[in-house]
Amino acid sequence: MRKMKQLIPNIYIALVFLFLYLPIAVLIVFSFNSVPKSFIWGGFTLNNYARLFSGNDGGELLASLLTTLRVAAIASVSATFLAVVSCLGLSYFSKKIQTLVLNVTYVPNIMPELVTGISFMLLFAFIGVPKGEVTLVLAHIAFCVPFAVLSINPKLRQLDKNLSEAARDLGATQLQAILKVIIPEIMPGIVSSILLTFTLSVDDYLVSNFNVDSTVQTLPMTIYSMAKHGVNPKMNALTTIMFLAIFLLLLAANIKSIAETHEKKKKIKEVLKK
Amino acid sequence: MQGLRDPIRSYLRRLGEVPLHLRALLVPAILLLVSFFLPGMSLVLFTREKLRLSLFQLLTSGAMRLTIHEAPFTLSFGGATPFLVLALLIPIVIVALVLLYPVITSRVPGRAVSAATLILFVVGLFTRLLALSRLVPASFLTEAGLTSGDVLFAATAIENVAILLAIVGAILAFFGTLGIVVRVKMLSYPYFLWLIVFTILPLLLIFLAAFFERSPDGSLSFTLDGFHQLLVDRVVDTDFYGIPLKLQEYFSVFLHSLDYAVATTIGCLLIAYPLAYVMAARTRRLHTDSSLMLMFFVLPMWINTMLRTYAWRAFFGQTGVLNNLLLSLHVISDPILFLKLDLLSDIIIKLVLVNDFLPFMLLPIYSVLVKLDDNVKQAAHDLGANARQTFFRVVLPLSLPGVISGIQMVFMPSLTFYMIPDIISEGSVTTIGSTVQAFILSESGTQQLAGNVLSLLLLIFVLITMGILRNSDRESGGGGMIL
Repeated sequence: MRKMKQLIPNIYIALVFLFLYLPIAVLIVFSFNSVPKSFIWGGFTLNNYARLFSGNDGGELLASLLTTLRVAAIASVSATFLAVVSCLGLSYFSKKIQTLVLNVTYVPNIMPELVTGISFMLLFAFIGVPKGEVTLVLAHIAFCVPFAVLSINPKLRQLDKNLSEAARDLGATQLQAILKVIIPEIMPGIVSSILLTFTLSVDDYLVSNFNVDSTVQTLPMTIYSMAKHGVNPKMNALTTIMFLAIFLLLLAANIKSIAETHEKKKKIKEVLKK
Repeated sequence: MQGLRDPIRSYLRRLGEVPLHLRALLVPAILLLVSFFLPGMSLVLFTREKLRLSLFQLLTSGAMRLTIHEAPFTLSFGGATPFLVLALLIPIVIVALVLLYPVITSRVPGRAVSAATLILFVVGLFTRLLALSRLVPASFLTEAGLTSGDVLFAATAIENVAILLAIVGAILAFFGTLGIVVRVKMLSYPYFLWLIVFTILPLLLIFLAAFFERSPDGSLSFTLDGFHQLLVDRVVDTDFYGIPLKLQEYFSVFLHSLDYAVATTIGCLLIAYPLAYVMAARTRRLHTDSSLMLMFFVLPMWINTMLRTYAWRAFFGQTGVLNNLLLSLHVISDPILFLKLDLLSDIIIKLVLVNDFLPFMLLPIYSVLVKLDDNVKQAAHDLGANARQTFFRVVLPLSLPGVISGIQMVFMPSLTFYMIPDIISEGSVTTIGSTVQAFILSESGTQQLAGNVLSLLLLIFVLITMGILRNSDRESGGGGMIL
């Protein structure tokens, strides 16, 4: 009876799991399909991987992949840097001003991404910056900043105010106190900020679309235009590679916590035995 | 040897006296110097041919042969030579000044050295920019039949970093020279400026752009053309859950997008709530954090949405996986046109939307449920509540904050996320997002105005919805406290 009670939830979990992974599984399986441009199985091949970046569409994929990675790297690091520096300064202001500044910061988070993209486009037209990679990078930094602040500010608030004062009392300069005491303390926030903003930037389509000219294409834009034009097995291969990369990355990030959980389980079992 | 070592040692010791702002200036000065010799500059001509040259090469070569429109030209850099020489010398002088600071300050006050370095630095930056602007003389452009827009000096990363650092260095030197102590508080000043430019100004522009248009001579004038364009008296026949309706064109588009968003939100909620509940129960029962399992539910979110949508189309397409499977099993004799039938494709679009946004609903609900104390349920049970009463009167109200933030994270993006309907229906479904996008990126001024108006209306609608949700969040939070 008890087993039955646990069976239904487990079946439910498995079903949702299937639902989420069905599209990815389809793409991965058919990335090895030898029949070009179709979803009829014709045998195993690695051709789609070998020719991923060759040919016209392959070149386009590679160029946009490089653009996306470059933009995401610049945007995530700049946004995080800006957030760290500003949050450091902000913590010396009164509560009232802090709340005001944070509320203004989070405004873009409750706006639809589409409108955010349009507002940046209007801004660049207003200032007079022509659309291109510069506006793309600026727009990405701008929409990443609220998320960076969101990951860093709480960490800074949890920090004991006395910590930097203690460092000062022990003879550290203000700069040393920041670099050697505060920054290492908020490092987890910085890392998660870079990871979060990087993935947001890589995945963004709506904001990018309004802030580039025809010479610059990001990966989601290329994928979108390819997806609209029918079947392209190269996209299956690309998905498989991306999936594997992300999977390994997440697994590496989680291995520590998995090991800890394992330890905990062991301990609980030991306690229960006694 | 001993005699030589002592002065060096005392010099090195006194090097520590160099004030921080001058040391900070040393880095950009050296970068400016190094980048002078690196082939970092690229001269991009309209011919799309890129020439990678260092400023030093430009200085020494003096002239360059180019082929434009298949005619040979000689581009002479003579006009820029004095500026290039200055741009090379000034960083050297700055580095020398900083390194000799301990020696000089025995004769002149340190502040004078700071001021001199600062002035040199600003002059150095300007000469460098002037040198770049003079590389291609106007006479060459007319001769070659080019406009100034055809020539572009693109600096690569190291140049940009050098110039950015140089500006930061100049600000630091400015503070140092005036004796202003840099306080930590000041670190957030640039951010205030950033907020004004990248948050407040864009928001204002969204409001203004809906009502003002720029005439060809550059002046702004008030107009309501955008609204007129939207409110055009065009009625379309549409079908809403089987009810035939006659609606104004854009209202119909909005209604259908709203339908997608509401259906996505409800679908996500119906699937995610039980899942979060089951997972939270599992976590508490096994005394482990199910972070690994949660990770597997969040993982698909990291794969590009467009790719997953494309996969769904491949799954349901006419020659897609599902049709092939059913055909080979002889369940059907002809492929089913899932994506071409209005009703079916509508359902599939909603299914894909739910698939895409599910993790955003799962995470907040799970994080609330997992923190729910088992004792609360036990208490309800002890007070005589049965399982159903416990759930509806205790667990559900307590988990409402998670549900509401889940709704916030699903409803709003799914309203404007036009790529999924577009890919699945192969462009035959128009949503509010694709309408705005088409308007904004069109050539016609009136259409752009209409797009601006529509995005303003969309913004207002979303803000009101979020406000209502936030209020109910507060109320339910209050209710939770009483319990």
